[in-house]
Amino acid sequence: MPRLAPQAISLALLVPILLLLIFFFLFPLAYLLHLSALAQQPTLQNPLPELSFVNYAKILQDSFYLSMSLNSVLVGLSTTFLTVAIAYPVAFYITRISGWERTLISVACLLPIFVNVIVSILGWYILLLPFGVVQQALAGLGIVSGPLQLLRTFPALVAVLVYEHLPFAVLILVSSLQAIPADKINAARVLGAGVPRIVFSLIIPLTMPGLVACVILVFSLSASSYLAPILIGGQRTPVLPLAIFSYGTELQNWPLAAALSFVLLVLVVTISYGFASAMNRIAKRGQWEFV
Amino acid sequence: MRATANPVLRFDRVSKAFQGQIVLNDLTLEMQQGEFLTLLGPSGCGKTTSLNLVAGLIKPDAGTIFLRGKAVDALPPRRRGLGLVFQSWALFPHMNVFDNIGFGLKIRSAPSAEIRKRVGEMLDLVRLPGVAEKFPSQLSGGMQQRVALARALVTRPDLLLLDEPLSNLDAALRKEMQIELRRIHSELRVSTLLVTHSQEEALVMSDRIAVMRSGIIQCIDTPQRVYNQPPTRFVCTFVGEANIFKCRVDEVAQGEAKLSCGTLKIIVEAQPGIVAGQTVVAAIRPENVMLALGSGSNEAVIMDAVFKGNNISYSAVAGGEILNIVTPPPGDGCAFAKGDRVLLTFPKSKVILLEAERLDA
Repeated sequence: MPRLAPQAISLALLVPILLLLIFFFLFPLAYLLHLSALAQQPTLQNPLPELSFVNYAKILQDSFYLSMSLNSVLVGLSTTFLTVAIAYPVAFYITRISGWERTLISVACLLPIFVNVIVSILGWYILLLPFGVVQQALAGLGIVSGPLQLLRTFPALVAVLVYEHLPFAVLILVSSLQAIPADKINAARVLGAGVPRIVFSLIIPLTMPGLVACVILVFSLSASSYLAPILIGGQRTPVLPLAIFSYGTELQNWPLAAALSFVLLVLVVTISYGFASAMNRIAKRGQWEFV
Repeated sequence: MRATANPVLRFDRVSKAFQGQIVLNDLTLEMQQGEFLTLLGPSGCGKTTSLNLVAGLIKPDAGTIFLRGKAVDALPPRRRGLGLVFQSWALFPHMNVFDNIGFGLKIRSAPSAEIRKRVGEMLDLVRLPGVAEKFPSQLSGGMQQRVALARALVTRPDLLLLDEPLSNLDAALRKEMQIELRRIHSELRVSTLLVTHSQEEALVMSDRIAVMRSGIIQCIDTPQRVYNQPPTRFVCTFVGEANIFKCRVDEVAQGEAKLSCGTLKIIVEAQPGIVAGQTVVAAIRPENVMLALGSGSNEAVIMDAVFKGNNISYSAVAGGEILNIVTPPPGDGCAFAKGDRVLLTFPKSKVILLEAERLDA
């Protein structure tokens, strides 16, 4: 049997994933791009309509689509900011404890992952309904009276998305915080650093790779989430995934749905990349790679 | 070292246990201003724990630590005025060399002109010109070590703590850094507490060595005296090598004690408390045993002869005991060969009488 060069073996190991990506990602993506540039829905009579930018022109000229894109970005950014703001201290606390305490808090953080997304969102739905659990509790405490509009609001949507993505953020940040050697923290302590200095000059820069990964994951997932917007946000907080779904299925306008998908894709990729490279410039200054 | 009224560091009956395991047992220790003191011992002897206690990274269970005469138990690490170099060097990977060294000064809100000046001085001191803009990952291990040292010294600490700082370096670099640390210590005269398991590092660099075992200091003295007059069997074998004999005292007369160990006869300088009939433990370093061709009492047979360039290492058997003997090379190979009958001489002044030690029983 002829001996294979190590490069040939590693290339062979890459083949399955490359094939998968080519046929189930790149090819559909190219097809979607093509679809988004069709003047009208392909039909049996007219299977190949002419190419044009009419769909993109429609999106850019219509303030409805623009506000929808802005909503998607705002939902993504608010969710990301709140998720990281909550997850970072929790993750930090988890790395400082051990034994049963650590197990308890870690399991509590991860449990929501094991509950079906629809089930957990419907749980929130019941909580937030007019005269639902939250309102009854607040009314019982005498804080509010009369019906309370919680469902179909922007804050409610963001709250549910934060809840949904928090476990992933905690997981990433715990492993990132744990990778900081205790020696480096102790070196700073002996050199005279107090807690704020240690957090801002050491811990945050050293966890930047995890932080960036966390932001990209939460932002891209929440900006393109469909279930929470349809069940919690509704048409009062219109976001791009809702429009994509209705043009793609109910209204049978695939070219417009494809164009909207591309707008969302470009927004998510641009903002994620912009954030990652900005963080690279601020904290890395040329010596290690983040993403 | 002359005792001064105000030691820079003092342990007063300090104990520490981790999960019921006693790591430091009632330790008392004084370190003088400007002294280079080494805590030497095997892993688990409590030397690193002692250092962490000084730094304030852990708290003692009992006893008090004094820095410059003041009890520091309530002081956090950042208020103790120390410099600390870790085994891992613990450089900050996201800061360049300049910012790493300047970190301690920046915290003290030093003006940037002064930070520049003092970081520059430190880079000169550790002989690392032109690396200020580089990041730790771009430096070799030896250079990172020097940066860590500069970072610890830039704040002009009262006491410099070194936690096995050389053990991540290769052998050649380690020797070079030992000389460097000695030079820097003699230039700055900064009180330095080194923790190491390497007897070579301790002997090369220290003014005094404290040999530790199981949380207890077994002996604290100058390198020469620790090596030449170790009090216990543990110190004797941990610092250097030794042939150890359990002997019976045959006779004490005219300032000499005559010992016998099997067929071996050893004469030592008499010490108070040694009486005929007693059992004692005697030790002699391999390089202090003298070899000659011939026969008579203390006859031995060479079992093996290894040429090591600057010396020859023999193992010889005499009266059921196996001895290690090291001699300078005679110039052309080995003076003695396997199977040769030789005569051993133990110079009276080189034989060490060791204290009976319960741990060795």
